[in-house]
Amino acid sequence: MSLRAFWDEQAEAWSRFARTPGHDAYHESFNFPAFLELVPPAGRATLDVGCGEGRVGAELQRRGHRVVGVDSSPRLVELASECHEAHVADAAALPFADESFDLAVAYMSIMNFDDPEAAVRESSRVLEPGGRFCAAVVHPMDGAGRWTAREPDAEFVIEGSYYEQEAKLWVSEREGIEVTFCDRGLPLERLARCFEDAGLLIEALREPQPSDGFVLRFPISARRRRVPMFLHLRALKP
Amino acid sequence: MSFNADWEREAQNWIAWARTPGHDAYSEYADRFFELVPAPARATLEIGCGEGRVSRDLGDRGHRVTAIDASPTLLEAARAADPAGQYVLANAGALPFSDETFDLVVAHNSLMDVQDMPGAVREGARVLRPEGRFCVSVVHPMSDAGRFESREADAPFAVRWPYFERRRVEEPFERDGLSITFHGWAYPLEDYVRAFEDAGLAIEALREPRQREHVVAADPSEVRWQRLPMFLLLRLRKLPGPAGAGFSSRF
Repeated sequence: MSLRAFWDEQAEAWSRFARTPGHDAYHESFNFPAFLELVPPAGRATLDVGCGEGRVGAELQRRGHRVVGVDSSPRLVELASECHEAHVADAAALPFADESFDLAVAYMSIMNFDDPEAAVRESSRVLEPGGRFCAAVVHPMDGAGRWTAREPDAEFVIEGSYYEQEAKLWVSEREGIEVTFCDRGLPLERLARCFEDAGLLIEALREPQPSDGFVLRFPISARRRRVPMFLHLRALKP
Repeated sequence: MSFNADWEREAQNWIAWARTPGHDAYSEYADRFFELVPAPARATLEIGCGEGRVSRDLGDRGHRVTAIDASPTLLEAARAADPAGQYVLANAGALPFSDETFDLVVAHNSLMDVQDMPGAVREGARVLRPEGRFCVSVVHPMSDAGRFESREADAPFAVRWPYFERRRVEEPFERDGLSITFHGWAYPLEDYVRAFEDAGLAIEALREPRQREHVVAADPSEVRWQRLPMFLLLRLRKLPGPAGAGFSSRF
């Protein structure tokens, strides 16, 4: 099954997961706040590539961005439209003219695209010169290995190949909400080549760690101070 | 003891290690590094040249190279092997050159060996002209955070040290009668890229080269380095505008 079909099938479950307050704490209190630090202030127009049900665009809109979202799932686009302008579109063939945006964001979406190279190339095409592309992905190191136990002090091992990472299917089932994740890490070189081939320069890179408060709430997240979980990039279209 | 004294003490070991044909990983990875290096222009600087092999190879490719190192013994060995070359005893954190002197700066496995990595990056960027390139090889941050559990081809790689911690590395190696201790530091990727960012350098290309087939054929344990990258290679571009302009002032 393509990753696209996989996510469309899960649209309802995913939106319950994303929209139940406090349910996705790793997003709310760890990943997303760190990502926002890399995002430039609102400009002319912001594109959200792989917008899902719209939570990222909704927050950017609160911060003054004029957001246009795209997603391949019709149901997710319908939900995102409650928050901001959104269109059903293939990230590999964006329905916008060249240089339509001064900012593009792809929050935890590039590694879920069937063709990440084309998605970054298209995002770059619709950016004006001087525009920025901000991306958050599963950290390539995390995608390459696994924890040997569900403990804060568990060991992290890479048994296969960092270069050919296998998609990891796992189910989150809490508070009556069940979502299947298909995490696929892309090796750093492959990610960087997506940017290079699209004519983008990586000007900032972050490997966020959970805050003290977050580790107190979720003790198991302490291990995310030994092995990075997310990777954030900001690239410039010169 | 300062870092420079460490490498000065290690100088003879390093000269023997680096100059024994096929002994060091350089013979397996250098061509991938040079693929990232732009064509020669007016002036190239090498930071941390050691006994000089990278400068000699750059010279063979037509670069007009000035090279610096802080170890007198290593620098003398570099000069002796290339009497026509420009070799200058200097600290990477205080380069004796004026701003915008070079078109290309090269730091091959030296940024992780200087005491002040961000200072060396800042200095390298200062002496680089706008739009000049900065080519870097470092030990891969992920591979520096752990070790393979054995020499078996499918040995698990286990993370042993917190990835995010700047950590002193003092690692002895022995092979075919030669020994060396690598003195340096391990950094997370973010530390390197923040240093680039603060110096006004952006990443134009990044590579994670795999070990070569012919090396694996001769030594099957090397297949482990086809599963994980040993080195991280980067080509950076100096952005026009004031160095270290930082995020907020650029918008």
